[in-house]
Amino acid sequence: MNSSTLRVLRIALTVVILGFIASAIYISALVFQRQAALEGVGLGNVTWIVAQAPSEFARLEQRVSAFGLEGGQSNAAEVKLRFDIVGNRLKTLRTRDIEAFSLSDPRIGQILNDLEQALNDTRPLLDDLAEPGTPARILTILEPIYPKLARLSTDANVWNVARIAADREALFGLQWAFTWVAIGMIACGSALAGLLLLHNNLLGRAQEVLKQKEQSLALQNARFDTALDAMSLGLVLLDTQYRIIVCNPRFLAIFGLDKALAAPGTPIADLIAPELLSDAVHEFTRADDDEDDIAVLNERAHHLPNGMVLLITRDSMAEGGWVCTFEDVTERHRAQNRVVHMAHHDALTGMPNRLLFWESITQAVRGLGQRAQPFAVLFLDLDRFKEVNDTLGHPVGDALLRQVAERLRHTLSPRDIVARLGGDEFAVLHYCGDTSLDSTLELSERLIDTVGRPYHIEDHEIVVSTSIGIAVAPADGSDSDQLMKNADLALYSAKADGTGTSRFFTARMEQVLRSRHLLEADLRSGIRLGQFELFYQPLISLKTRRIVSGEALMRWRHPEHGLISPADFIPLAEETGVIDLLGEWALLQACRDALAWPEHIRVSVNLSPVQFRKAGLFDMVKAALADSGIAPQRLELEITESVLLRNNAANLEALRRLRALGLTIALDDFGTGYSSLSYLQRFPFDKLKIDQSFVRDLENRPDSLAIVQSIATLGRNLKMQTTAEGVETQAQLDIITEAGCSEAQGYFFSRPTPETEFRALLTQQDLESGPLRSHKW
Amino acid sequence: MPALRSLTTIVFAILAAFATPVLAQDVPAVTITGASGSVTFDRTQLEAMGLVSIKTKTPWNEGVVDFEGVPLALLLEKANAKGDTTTVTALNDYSVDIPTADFAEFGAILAVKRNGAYMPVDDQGPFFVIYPFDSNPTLQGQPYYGRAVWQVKELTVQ
Repeated sequence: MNSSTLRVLRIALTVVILGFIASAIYISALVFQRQAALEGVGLGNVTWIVAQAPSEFARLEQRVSAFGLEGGQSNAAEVKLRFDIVGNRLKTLRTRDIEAFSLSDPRIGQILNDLEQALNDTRPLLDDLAEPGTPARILTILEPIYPKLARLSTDANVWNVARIAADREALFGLQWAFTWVAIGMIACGSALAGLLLLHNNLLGRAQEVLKQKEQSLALQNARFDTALDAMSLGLVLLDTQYRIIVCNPRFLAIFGLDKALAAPGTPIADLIAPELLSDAVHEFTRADDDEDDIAVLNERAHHLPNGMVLLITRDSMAEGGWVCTFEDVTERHRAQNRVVHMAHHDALTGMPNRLLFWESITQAVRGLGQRAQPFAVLFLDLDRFKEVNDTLGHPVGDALLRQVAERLRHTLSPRDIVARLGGDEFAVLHYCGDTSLDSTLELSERLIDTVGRPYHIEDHEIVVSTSIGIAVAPADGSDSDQLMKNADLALYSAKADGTGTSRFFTARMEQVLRSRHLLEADLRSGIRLGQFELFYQPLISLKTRRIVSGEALMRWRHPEHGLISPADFIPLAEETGVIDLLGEWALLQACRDALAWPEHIRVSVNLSPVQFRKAGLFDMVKAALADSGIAPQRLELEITESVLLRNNAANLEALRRLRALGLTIALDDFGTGYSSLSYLQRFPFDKLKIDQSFVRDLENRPDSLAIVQSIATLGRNLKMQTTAEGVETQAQLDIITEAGCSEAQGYFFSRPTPETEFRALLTQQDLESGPLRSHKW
Repeated sequence: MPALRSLTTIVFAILAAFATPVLAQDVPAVTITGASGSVTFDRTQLEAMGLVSIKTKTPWNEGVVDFEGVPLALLLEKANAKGDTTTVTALNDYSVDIPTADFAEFGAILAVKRNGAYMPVDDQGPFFVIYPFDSNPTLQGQPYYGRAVWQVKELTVQ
């Protein structure tokens, strides 16, 4: 709490104690000083020594005067004795002991000098004492000295009194000093006592605080123990020598240890495999959102021999040593393995899915660099699988896919990987063995053959073929994305070339794709910029030999490529959905164009099957009729049988509603495709257009003639008009006329021409009022 | 040589006996008075008793002085004088009472010589009561300095 207070207190205590010591030293000094002063007093009593001088001197004078009165030898010795005694006194007065007094006044020295002078003057006279007059002379010499000695005695007394007074004063001062020192010491003592009390108090309080801290520490420890016991993680604290400091029950449980075995101080290496710790994550770097990451789990998990999976972390503690945690992730690991499998596999066939296949290619690419193992990526899809699904239902489709998958699996070598990418798309990763394409080609032929054999599902015999696109690594790509894209391109190309074929990827395919992309962009901008126009080809009534109708045919006047045929852009427009816009424009334009024609001339417009996919077809046609103001009876819509193939009921309903508007419906390209006669039953077409392939061969192939004759008869019987398309020669015209077709169309009469030219044809026909003769006008 | 010395002694003795009484007076003496009467020892007699030396400082001399004299205890014994108090009287009739026990206790002497020479009357002679002041701090100061009487002429033991 207040260590600073305690420090200040200690300093104060030291100061007080030093004060005590100083006082003691001072007192000792005073005592010594006084001792010295008193010693001076003790050395000798100056007054006494001085006081004896006058009496000794008086006795000398007395002896001398007595000698003068009496005379006599015997007394001379007595005089000499008294003289010597006085001489001794003089010497005594000049000793060190009396010096202080002698020097206190110059007069004293003078007196002593006078005495010495008198003695010196007397000494020679002593031998002549017997002579008369000598004693008197001596007395004359001595007489003036006595009062001085008496005076000296008084001075000594005064000096001594003064000295006593000084001593008394010094003693008094000493007394005061003692008193002050004593007061000071009492004060110091009180301060000391106070400080000690304070110190004691502080120490007491500190002890109290310490006790409280100890209690809270004990509480903390208890909580810590509880927390440790309750932890779901195994935890062990190790010292720098990897010996146990503390561990919790979960740790013991994970490793099946007895508590006694894991006593503090036990080396951890005695209990668990040391590599578990050395491999452990050194720091708690993983974030919470990382916890469930599959990669983390796989990388960091430790698999114990008993099947348990642990996540182990190890972190250094501030004071040295380590804190290690052990998390039992066995369940999670298992669950995640399931998730991983699910994420990587197709539920229907159990095959790897697109993701895993992608990863497999990535791995194979890596192996390419390390072990130079070339491989090929094969993309397969089933031709016309959609038709199976549409006609026989999804359960059959799924069963077919499962069987296809099974056949694929059996065809491949164990090293190859087969995956289902989705829908009817499959992919194979094939290790070629060498750089030649032989094994790949052989495999693709085997796959086409195997998949193409009939399937028996729920009493149906189903035949599907497969097309294969192949990309070879590393020639056709250096990563998964590129290889898969190129294999897909190759597949696209293979399908374009017909069913049951395989194609290796070529750079040209990519170019085609790129130009398709460019064309698509041009297509959209072309509509905006009005680059499309309608040509018309006349339909001739075989009865009147006059033009009765014009078929609108789209042309694209491309600024760079010139005029582009519908065969080149319609499929693309259908694929990309641009056909909706294009079709709407063509219909409206055709209706408007026809308004300028004679009223008995009808206009025929093609509808793409794609246009039937949208719900707005009926409204679109209705709007075109309304916008242009043309009579519905003058409009004929041509469809192909594929409209009836897909989404049957809805399309039939749309056709009925259109027909109800008053316009007519023609079935185009009749005789190709499925040409199921049941279509004719399902919908009352107004006209059948016989495909030009039959007309072209009329002169050389009897079967073509038979077909044309049959269709004409069929049309007549069903009260449908029949139009022969692609009539190019007089002979062909004669034959179809004979066969009983109602109309003809073809180069023999006219190529498709711009609207202005077509209108000119109509005008000319009206002027001539005769039958159309030939195409060369 | 001893013959010569004894001759000289004899000559001086005759001279002393016959020449002048003053000469006889020149050899100082001390009188010791006890209960049984008085005895006077002159310096020669005192010296014959055997002298001991005390080297000490005194307040009245410069430096360390070598005093030689008769131990007072011995002197009183020779004089057959017994008593608790010895009164020492000086030529100027100054007198001091000294506990007789001092003599035995401190080994005080009646000094005859100072630094090897006799002491004249005008210089603390002829006899001087000396304590070994330096050998014992108790002796340094009163009353012992007061008991060191110079110009001693008489000791009275009571």
